[in-house]
Order: sequence, then C-alpha cells, then structure tokens
Amino acid sequence: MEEGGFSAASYATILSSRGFRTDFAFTIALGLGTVIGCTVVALPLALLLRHNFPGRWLVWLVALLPFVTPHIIAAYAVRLALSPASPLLFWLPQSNREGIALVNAWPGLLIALIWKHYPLMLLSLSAALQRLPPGVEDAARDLGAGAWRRLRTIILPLLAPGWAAGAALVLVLAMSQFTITLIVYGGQRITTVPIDIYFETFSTRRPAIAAALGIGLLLITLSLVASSSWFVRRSSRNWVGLSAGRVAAAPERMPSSLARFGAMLLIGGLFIGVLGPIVSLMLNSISDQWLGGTPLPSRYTFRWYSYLFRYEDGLGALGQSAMFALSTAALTTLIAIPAAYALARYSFRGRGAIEALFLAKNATPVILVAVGTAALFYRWGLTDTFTGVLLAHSVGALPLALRGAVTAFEQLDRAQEEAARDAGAGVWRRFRTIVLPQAAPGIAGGAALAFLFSMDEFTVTFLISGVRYTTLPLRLYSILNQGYIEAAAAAAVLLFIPALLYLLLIVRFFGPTLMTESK
Amino acid sequence: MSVHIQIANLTKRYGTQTVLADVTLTVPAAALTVMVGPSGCGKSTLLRMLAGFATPDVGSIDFNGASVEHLPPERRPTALMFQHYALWPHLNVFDHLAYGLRVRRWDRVRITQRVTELLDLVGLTGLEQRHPGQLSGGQQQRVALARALAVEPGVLLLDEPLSNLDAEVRAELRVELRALQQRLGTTMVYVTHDQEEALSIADQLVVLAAGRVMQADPPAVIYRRPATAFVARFIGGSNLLQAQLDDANSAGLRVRPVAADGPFLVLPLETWAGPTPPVPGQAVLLACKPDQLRVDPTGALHGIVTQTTFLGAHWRIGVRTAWGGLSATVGAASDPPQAWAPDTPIVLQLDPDRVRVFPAEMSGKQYRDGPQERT
Repeated sequence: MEEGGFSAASYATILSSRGFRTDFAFTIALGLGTVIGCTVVALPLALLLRHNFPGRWLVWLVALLPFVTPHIIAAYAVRLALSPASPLLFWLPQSNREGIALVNAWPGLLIALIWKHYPLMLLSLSAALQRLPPGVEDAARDLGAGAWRRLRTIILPLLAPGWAAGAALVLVLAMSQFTITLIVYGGQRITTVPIDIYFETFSTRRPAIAAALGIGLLLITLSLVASSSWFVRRSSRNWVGLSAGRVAAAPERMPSSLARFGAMLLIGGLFIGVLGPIVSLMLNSISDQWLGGTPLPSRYTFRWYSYLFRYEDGLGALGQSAMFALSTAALTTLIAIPAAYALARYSFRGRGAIEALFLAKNATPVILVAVGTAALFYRWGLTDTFTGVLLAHSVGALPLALRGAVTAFEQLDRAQEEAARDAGAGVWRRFRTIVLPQAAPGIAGGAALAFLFSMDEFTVTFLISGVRYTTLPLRLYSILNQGYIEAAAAAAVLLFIPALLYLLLIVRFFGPTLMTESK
Repeated sequence: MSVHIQIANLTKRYGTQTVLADVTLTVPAAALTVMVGPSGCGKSTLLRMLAGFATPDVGSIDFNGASVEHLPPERRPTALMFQHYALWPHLNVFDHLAYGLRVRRWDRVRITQRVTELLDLVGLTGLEQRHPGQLSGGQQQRVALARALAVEPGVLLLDEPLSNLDAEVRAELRVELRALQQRLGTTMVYVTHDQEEALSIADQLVVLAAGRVMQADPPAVIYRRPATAFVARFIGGSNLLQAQLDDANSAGLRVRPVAADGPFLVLPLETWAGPTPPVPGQAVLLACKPDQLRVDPTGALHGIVTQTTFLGAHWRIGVRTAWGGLSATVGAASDPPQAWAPDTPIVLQLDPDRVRVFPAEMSGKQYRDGPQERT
C-alpha cells in the first residue's frame, strides 16, 4: 500500500464521481429502508410481547434469534432462503422462482439487513414500553379512549425517544454493514460505501480514496447518531420528575377475537420468517442432493460433516475460533473488571464515559475500524498472528465486557462496602468477599458477549488473517466461495451452537430485556 | 348526573389469594364514600372494579340500577384519579384536560371554554402550557383531578389521591377536595389507608379488612360504635383488653382479666357489640380508646407504667395491667412526667359507657395486626 499525504484531491474525486455519489445515495437509502423495515416488524412484536401469554418466552426466543446469529450465518441463511433453490419458495412454479431476483439485488440485501437488525429495534422499543410510567394507558382508557386512540395519542409519542435511539443504531449498522453485503449482494455495479472502501483499499489500491470515503461515511453516521441523541434528549426534556419504575400490570381483559387473530398471524409470520431460513440452512447440512423446489430434502446424510472435518479442517477452525473467543473474553474481562470498578466507584462521570465509548463504537462503521486496523497491522507485522487477531477482536469486544461490568458494579450499594470496611476489611478483602460475588453475574454476562462477538467477527479477521489463523467464519466463507453449499451449512451449524446456548439461557432464565444492556 | 352504586356479593381471587370476599355495599349518590383499610385489604381492587380495570369473579355492580360489570373502562361513566396520577409526560396541562373532551368529539371552542373553567376551578390558570415534569407534586395532583373532572363523570374514583404529598399540602388539599365534592354534588369513592383522612372527609366510611367489609357507616358512628374489634383498633387505635365474661344479666356484663384473678368490672349491657347474645364464660375483648382512659386513684384498672412518650399536645403512657398492655393519653398540661416514670404504679379509670365488648373469637387474628403505619 502506498503512503498518501493529506490532500483534498481524493474528496474532489469522490464528489465528482457519479458512481461514488450514487453509492452514497444507495447506502443511505438502504439504511433508511432498513430502519423502516425494522420498525414495521418490531413495533407490533413489541406491543404483542408486552402482554403475558402462554409460550411468550418461545416467541421472545425466536424473535431474538437473528440478534445472536453470527453475521455470516445470517447472510448465508437469508441468501439461501431467497435463492431460486429456496425450500421456502417450494409453492412457486420453477419458472416463477427463477424469475424473482432477490439475491444479488437490493431487495435481497434489504431483507437480509432487516432480518439481522430488527431485534435491536425490538429490544429498544420493549425497554421503552417497560419504562412507560404506570397507568398512563389506563388513564386514557378511563376517559373513553379506544385502543387505536391510545396507541396514537399516548403510546407512540412516549415511544418516540426509544424508537429514535434504536433507529440510529440500526441505521449506522445497516449503512456500515460489510459481511452481509459481501455475501448477499455480490458484484453489482451500484454498491454500498463499505464495499467501495474495501475495494479501494485492497483491489484498486487507492488508500486515499478509501480514506476519504471512510471519512464521508463516518461524517454521515456521526451526524445521524448525534441528531438522534439530540432528539431523544429534546423530546424527553420535560419528562423528568415523574414517578416511574413500577411496571404497569398487564391488561386483564381477554383481547378481542380480531386482536387474537392478528397476534396469531404475527407470531406465524415471525416463526416462518426467522426459523425458515435457519432451519433450511440446518437441513442443508444433512441433506443429499437437495436441489430445492421441495420443502424437505429427499435423502439425508452426514457426509458434509465428514467432508468438513476431513478436507476443510473444520475442527481446527472451530478450535481456533474457540481459542480466540476464550482469549478475547478472558483478556477483555481482565481489563474490564478494574477499569469498570474504577469508573463505577471513583468517577461520577463513569457512566458518561462508557456511554460515550458506546456511542462512538456505534457511530463508527465497522469497515473503517477494520481497514484502519489492517493498515496498522501490516506496518507492525501483526497480520496473521495470534496477537494480532486477539488484539483486533479485543478492541471490538472491550466495550461489551466493560459495560456488563460497569452496570454490575453500579447496581451495588456503596453502603455494603462501607459496612465491610467498618468491620475492618481491607480493599482487597472487600472487593473479593462483597463486591465480586454480587457483580459476578453481570461480569459473566459481559464476558459471554465478548465471547460471542469474537466467534462472530468476520470483517477484521478477514482483512488481517487467513493463512495461519483461519477462524470458522473465514473457513465458512471460503467453502461458500468454492460452492459447497452443504459443507458451508455444516460449518454454519457448528458456529451457531454457542450463540444458541447463550440465547436459550438468557431468555429462559434472565428475561429478554436483559439484552438491552448489552448493545 | 350523579350515580348511585349497588355492589352485591363481589368476589375476586388471584390464584389462591382471595382479594375480595363477598362484598355487598351501597354507595349513595352525590355523597363522598371513603374506603379505608390496611394495605392488601382489597380497597384498591374494589376501586379498579368500579372503574372497569378489574373484573369480578362473582357478583354484580349496578350504576343507577343498570348492571355495568361487562362494560370496559372506556364505556363507564366513571373517572379515576390514579394513585401516582398517571399524567402523560409528553402532553401539557391543556392537553390533559382536553383529552377526554376530544374523545367525546367536543368542538374546539367548547373545549377551550371548558378547560379554562377547569383551570380556574383547581387553581392552575396560567400553567396550561406546562408539562407534568415542570409542575410541583401538588400541581400534578390538581391536573390529575381536573383531568378526571373534565368529562363530568357520574362517579369520581380517587385512589389514595394525597398519598404522594407531604403532610401540610395533604391536609390543605383534603379540605379542598371535600368542598369541591359538595359544590359539584358528584358521587365520589375515595380510597385511603390514612384513618385520619378518612374520618375527616367521609359521608360514609367503609372499613375493609382481608377482602371483607367490616363496617360501612358515617365516620362518627364508626368512631363511637365500631362493629368489630378490628374496626375499634384500626379507627381510633383502641386498646383491646383480653377478658372473660363471668356473667351477663340485666345488671350488666361482669368481666375479669383472663390472665389473673384480678378485680372484675361491671359494664352496662349496651356495651355488648357481638352479633349474638353474650354467653357467660366466653372470652371477650374490651375496646377502649386511649383518650377515654383517665388517671384516677379511685379507678378500677391498676397497673405499672412501662413507657412514657411525649406527643406534643399530650402524653401517651404505656401501662401493664392484669388485662394486658394498654395505652392512655393524658393532656400535656397535667402532671409532670416524673409521676409516670417507668415502673411506677398507676391507677386508671375507664368510662364504662364508652367501652365496647366484642366476643374474642370473632376478630380472629386481625385485631392483633393493628393499624397500619402511615407511609
């Protein structure tokens, strides 16, 4: 890579290039489309999940599945589901299936982005619904307002700040998405800015142009995040000083049959939309010559797994992924515990610092971090080394571990430590006997997220390694490129297991809104 | 239009817990009915049932003779003032008061007129552009009240409307609320756990405990002639002396302490408050309020002082007697406290006409729980 000096020339090139201007417009449109799609999916779900009904946890589980699904699996599963060979489209005649071009076209990319990102909106909206002051809806009902009027005049206005926060997050993630775009939307004339950045860096080798593109994207995402937090603060400016906290009791009356029908329809759509792609991906890994057009494979086999293990070193890749994930979780937790304790205890601005870090992380497109890391690592000779990959993963995972620990420490009453001190315990003993046992669940939660982040990581790893260190996502991508879709599906199933375990644990034992703390 | 409410055999269970057990009650039109009881007695559930937010398992609620228990809250002529006000953070005061009127499709001019009237009524004129977060606790309370009054409800329901305010504002607002009710002539049902508040404003006072109506009467009747030992204890904080009925005849009730062969007392027959005639030998409870006991050397209750507490206007003296522990209040102007130092013998006189005698088994465990601490 050549060294580029500072000059405005690359900005002029971008501004004068019709292709780049179109790509920026496309990227922004894609982001806005994703936000709209996520809202359309998440809002009715959030309203539904407010009510208590048998099997609610299962609906939560399915609704949050895309949230924990590694990006590369999400992209691959949606790509399969939208391709002409999709088992989900078995009811369409062959000719029609060939006719609909969803994959490698913007509709497919948009669907994949919505699929992966709507849970963030759902968590945002659910948290906002939980924070509604008690009785606000009942008060409107008492004055004669029907369900629609209550939704329009009370619930939606009060959800606006929560929605804006979720929307900014989704917008930035969609606009800076690399992995999903690479897999679902390859080789098109009009593409997204992150793909442009990647090509300018590694293909056409014009780092100055890549940097300028990155700055342009960053400016857009930063201004979006800033205006969102401005809106959140402005709209809830007058909301302080009101008693909140008590969770409003679930409405007791049976819903109307129309509402029940709507709920069934929504749950049915959710199960097909989320489980369909994932289950057909899993079936693919055990199917023999499933050419599509039928809802189920005609013959089953485990030979793709033996192929994966024998010829693609699947176990080795899984082992490397697990090694990096464990090391990342351990390293970030070791840094996070003292840092978070100091922030939570000795600084009044601790919370603000973590929020700022998170805001910065959320506002910075992943591809920029990846390209920047790659450039530095090439210079330092860290590419394709254990240290390099571990460092790259840890930088991304640290905010997750840190936030888990800060939340855990902040929830501890300071008086408990003072009581221990009063009883004669020194700093270390207080920390070991009083603080750590109670903060352990929060710290473990942060560590689990760091682990999952590392398992999922594709973008940076893809740019800085691949020969000596090939993690499972990289291996999956390379198998995919060779066209062995069933073997790739087998690799995806392996990669999926830790995320599934995590989700099951969270939803069943801790409650799904716990996850709002995590992103 | 004020509404007369008839509640019959209302029962509500949540799982194994019975919240309301066979409640039958009349709420007279244009009067202020106060429901009072310790927390968990079912008073809030009863109020929410009147509003339509909870449905009874069994029983009926009639408004002016028409059954309402199948109507949802939005179709009942009730307006509820919520305990924590449930104001809408995103709407200003004007929009709060106009909300119910807009639902009823009033035109703009009439709404403005009505809101102006309401602002004047509750003393919030000039604050119509404020949001709830910019108002004090007392002002928020007035917004909640005006919002409920705006739609001219047939029944105004108030769920502990003053519990969030400090003592001074509370006393002031309760007088205002009472005056407003008398001026508007609305049927009001008011829930509180504060017995002083309940006594001071009610036309009808309903004492609830463990999901049952203990007594429904005017406050003075409840105070002077409590129907159960629980009511005697909860309203006015009566002492409950454990005794045994030796004899009951035309001369009166002869009772003596359970614990010891102490001196007996003879009380007028009218003091008997049991549902069935007294039976000699049965265990009874004598209820007498602390302010009905006097320090009097010729009295019948001999005891030892255990504790003396200064309460400003008077002293409260704890006394251990053969009848059990009891407390008496004595004006602060009388004897200096040294006379009632702990372990000093003391003799108290009780006014036999104002004692109430209850059969002991009737009150179960409830009387021991005593009145709730105010929060």
